[in-house]
Amino acid sequence: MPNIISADWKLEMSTFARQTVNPHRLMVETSKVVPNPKKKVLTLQLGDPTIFKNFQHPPEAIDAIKNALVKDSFSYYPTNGIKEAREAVADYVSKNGDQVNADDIILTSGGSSSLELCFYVLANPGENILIPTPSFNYRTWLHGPGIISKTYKLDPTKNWCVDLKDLESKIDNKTRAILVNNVGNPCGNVFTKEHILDILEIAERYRLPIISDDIYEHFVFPGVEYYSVASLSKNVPILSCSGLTKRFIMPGIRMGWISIHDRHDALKEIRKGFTQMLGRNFGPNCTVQKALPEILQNVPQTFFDETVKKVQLHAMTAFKLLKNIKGLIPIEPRGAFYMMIKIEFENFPKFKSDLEFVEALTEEESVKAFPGGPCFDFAGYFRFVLTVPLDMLIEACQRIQEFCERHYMNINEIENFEPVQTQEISIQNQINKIEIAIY
Amino acid sequence: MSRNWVKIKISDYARLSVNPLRKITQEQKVEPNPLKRSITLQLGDPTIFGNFPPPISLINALNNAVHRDKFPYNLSYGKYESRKAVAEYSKHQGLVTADDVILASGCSHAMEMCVLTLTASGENVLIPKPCYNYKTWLDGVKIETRAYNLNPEQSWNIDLKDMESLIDEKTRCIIVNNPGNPCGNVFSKDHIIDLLALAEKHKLPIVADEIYEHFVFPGIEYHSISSLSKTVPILTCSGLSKRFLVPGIRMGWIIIHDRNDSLSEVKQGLRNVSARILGPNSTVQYALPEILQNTQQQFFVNKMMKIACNAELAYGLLNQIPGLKPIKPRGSMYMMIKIELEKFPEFKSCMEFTQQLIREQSVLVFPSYPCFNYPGFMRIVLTVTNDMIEEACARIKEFCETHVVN
Repeated sequence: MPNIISADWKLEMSTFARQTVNPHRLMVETSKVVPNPKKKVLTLQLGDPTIFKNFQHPPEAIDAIKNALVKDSFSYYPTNGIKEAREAVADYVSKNGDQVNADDIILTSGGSSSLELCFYVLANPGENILIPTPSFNYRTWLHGPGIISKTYKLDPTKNWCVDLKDLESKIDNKTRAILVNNVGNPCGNVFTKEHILDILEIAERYRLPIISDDIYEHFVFPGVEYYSVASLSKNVPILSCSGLTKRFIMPGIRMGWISIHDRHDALKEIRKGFTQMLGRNFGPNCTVQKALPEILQNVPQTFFDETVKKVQLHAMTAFKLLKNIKGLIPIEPRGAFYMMIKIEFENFPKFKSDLEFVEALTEEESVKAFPGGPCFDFAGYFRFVLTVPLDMLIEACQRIQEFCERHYMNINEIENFEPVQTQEISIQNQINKIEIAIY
Repeated sequence: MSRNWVKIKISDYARLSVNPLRKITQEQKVEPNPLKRSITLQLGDPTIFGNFPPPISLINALNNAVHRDKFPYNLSYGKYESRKAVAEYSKHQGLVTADDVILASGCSHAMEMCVLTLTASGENVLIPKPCYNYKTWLDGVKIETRAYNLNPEQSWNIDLKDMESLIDEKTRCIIVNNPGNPCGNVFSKDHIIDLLALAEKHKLPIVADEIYEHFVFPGIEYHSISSLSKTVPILTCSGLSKRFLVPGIRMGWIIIHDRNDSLSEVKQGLRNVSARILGPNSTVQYALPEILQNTQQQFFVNKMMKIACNAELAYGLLNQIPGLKPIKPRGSMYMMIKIELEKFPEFKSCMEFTQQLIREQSVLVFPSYPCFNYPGFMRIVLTVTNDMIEEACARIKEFCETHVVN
């Protein structure tokens, strides 16, 4: 920090700002890797289905917003959201199987904002929240204020189920909550009813509330059954975070919510805590709140069914193509719109990490994907987004095949081969690398 | 582990984040007089009575945007075209480009981002007294706030000696609100230059809350702080809420006025923290260029005339009331009125005074403590209708005449 007598002005950013890193955004906005100029860039990075316009918001949402604009006075609203909007969300959420009312709903500026509020209401700096690995970058909201994230493993050999022993081993007396992401990003996991009950059993034993990241709720492929965590919880209080972002294909609208599923009145103080924090006044746009009842009531089930079917077709296509590539093992998702692909590093001695693999893929084949280590805290994998147009997806898979064939080496054929330990390069090192590139 | 589910305790951050204004309005336990229609002069929301509608250009822009918006994720610090439009709109502050703009979910959010990027917990920032409730998002993260006096005898100018006495090696920035809430202060050019000299001496950047930019009464000159700054780096926060009369729209911004490249790291820090909410609503971002470019100057002039009239009216009426001393505002949309508590021995604080005012006369105002961290005053909002101002002042007069002791 600068000396006040110094003649120079050189202002540093706070630790909070330095530690609030969104690795996906950082990668997309600051990457210095130059794609192959001879090949059209194929981007399978950000989880934004609207980018190529092949997935779109429902027309009913536009009508609802237009109608809301006619009546809108753009006034300040209660800090937890306009009552009619909260009532509509309560009805919508109750359909998942656990009854809630308008007082159990808080409207927020998107799923990220919902999660942030839940983290901050429960945990002090130095305390911890359990998050899965691989997972979405929850750290972006945790590390800034000094909340510790402890990770529990998901098992790629068992449809990304939670390793329950590992989960339990991570709990200590500073643990404040368990975050569960079902349906999940980046894995596309969909937990069975029994598995959710097993997770709940652990939470109950340790008296830990669950923060349920439900932004991909109901986004499961035909034939797969979906259960919301709250609907199966008898005793464990659940804070469920969701919104319009993914299911309604409107990430830019910044409209999310928290539904409070209390048990045994354990969340009484938490409710007060939310009310206080909402006084900061960072809530969602008033017009969208006014439009929300109409959006939730009028968008037909067929919109969701068609979206999911289309994504499933993409998933099956990509899985079939990638499965045949030597040195790669794709893990078939059961929902959401992502797929994780394992890199068998023993067959690619040139690359020491998923980041190096993915960077070379961009340089040689102009295919952009997110590496598992820096982006999802899971080394040795990369993630594809499945909502790009089908022909783009197919072409990306073909280019990956060419890339892998070029670099693939059979272990037995390599002279003086020494197996490369798949380096568990820490997130911080990866981030430092990216930061050095920026500064 | 305990066998029962006990009440899960909240974090310090949640416990310490208190918005005194929302606390009063949403948890008000004081019952107004049922025989008198309530007149509320509390929340700074000009839309409540329909007498201050937003500009047609804004409605049109949003309608156009809704048809064209595909609701994508945008850059977390805002879409390029929107930032460019804000840079152009803000050129009275100094020449900036789209690169110097960060969009936020309202001006409060913009201010929070600035302070959190500059300051760590345990360090301190200077805030004015009286002032808007910046503490709501500072107390929670344990950033110490040190309040410098504004002088009611000198149009609420900053007491610069007092400000200087608060600075130490842990001070990270000075928050300045001009034009201001709750006082309606509008600093002169000379006063701003004096303030900048002090900031330069101590190498402290200024976080300028200019949500009421241009909100000055006829005859008063307005200067944005950054427009007068040669060497002091300024982060200026503003937005649509007040000037365009749309507080619920949640569209604000930070303009980074760098000097000598001292804010290059801070700019990256602001972009980092913008990733928490991932930017304001895409439709409003889409509409923003049209809103900023198509709203006619006449809209703003008419609005200020109306508020200035209300200010004159209220000041004239309240100035005659024994025991009260209104301080004439020079801009924004509020007025502070001193309560000479020694003349009202029944009431030990402005809070008690204002609560009784509700009970007897159904007139709702904010007490300066706890709302603005300043004792002995009350604040009224000047955007209610003319009739309501008149009636409210008449009832306040009746109330004071009932309780005053000479």
